[in-house]
Amino acid sequence: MAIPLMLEHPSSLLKVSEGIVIDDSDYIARIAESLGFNGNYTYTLTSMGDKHAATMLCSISSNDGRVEKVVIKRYTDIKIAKWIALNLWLLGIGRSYDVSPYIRMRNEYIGTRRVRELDRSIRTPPILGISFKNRVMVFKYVDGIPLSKMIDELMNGKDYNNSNAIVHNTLEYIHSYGSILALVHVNKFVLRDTKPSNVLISKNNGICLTDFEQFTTLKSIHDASWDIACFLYYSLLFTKDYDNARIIIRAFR
Amino acid sequence: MDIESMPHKEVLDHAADIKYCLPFYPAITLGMIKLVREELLKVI
Repeated sequence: MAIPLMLEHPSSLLKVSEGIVIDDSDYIARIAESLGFNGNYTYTLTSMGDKHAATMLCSISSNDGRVEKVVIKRYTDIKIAKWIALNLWLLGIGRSYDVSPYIRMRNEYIGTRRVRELDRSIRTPPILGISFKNRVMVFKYVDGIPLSKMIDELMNGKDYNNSNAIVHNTLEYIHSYGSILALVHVNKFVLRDTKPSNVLISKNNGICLTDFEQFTTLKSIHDASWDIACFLYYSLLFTKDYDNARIIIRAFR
Repeated sequence: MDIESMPHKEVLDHAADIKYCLPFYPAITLGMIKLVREELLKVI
């Protein structure tokens, strides 16, 4: 007699406020099932992000041509090395990042939901599944351009008189991000990892914040100051264009 | 919490603190660091 699923995998009974618990070994099948794929489907996995990232884009396709894209983020031990290295890097300035995969997952889950709830204009990727056992979270894929790419285009462009539509839009997004960051701080939260590459500009012109691994509560105003400094310095790395840099800083503040 | 109750000037003052640019040096030039700090302090 087959063992009922709930006895074999008691964690399948667990409920979370957003998404489903995917402690099964074949968690992609569970996600596909939750998205309405029954039986015949295939999926492909593609690596996303930088070489330290453990994030994969999963495209699930059914025979009738339906395609759904989800993002699978793994909280691996290899990434611990990245955060330890960053902590050593920040030792001198009294800042630190969370290292434990479980704490980073907790931050991600809470941050993704709490920041979205601050204002209707703020978007974060919808959570589809979470598994502390597999150390994995699955999000709905958000199609968008990273703000870092838009800033690079602005910095590499010749036109800094704001007449160019790309420049104008980029500055508006930077300003909006500054306002969102202020709202996050006022609500006593901090993002800590405010790289412009963690901000996506989606096709419908919405700003979508991603990567909340270091999200936490604001403990001192120095935390908020680091969010601001981190965003500005990251935005202006390897550039010598002072005119455009000035425009970016003024748009942000 | 009211947005006005956040000590924005103090936050920006700390953001302009020289120590926060140290992790990014030399990937960011000294001139750029000076510019960021000046622009932040202008708001205060």
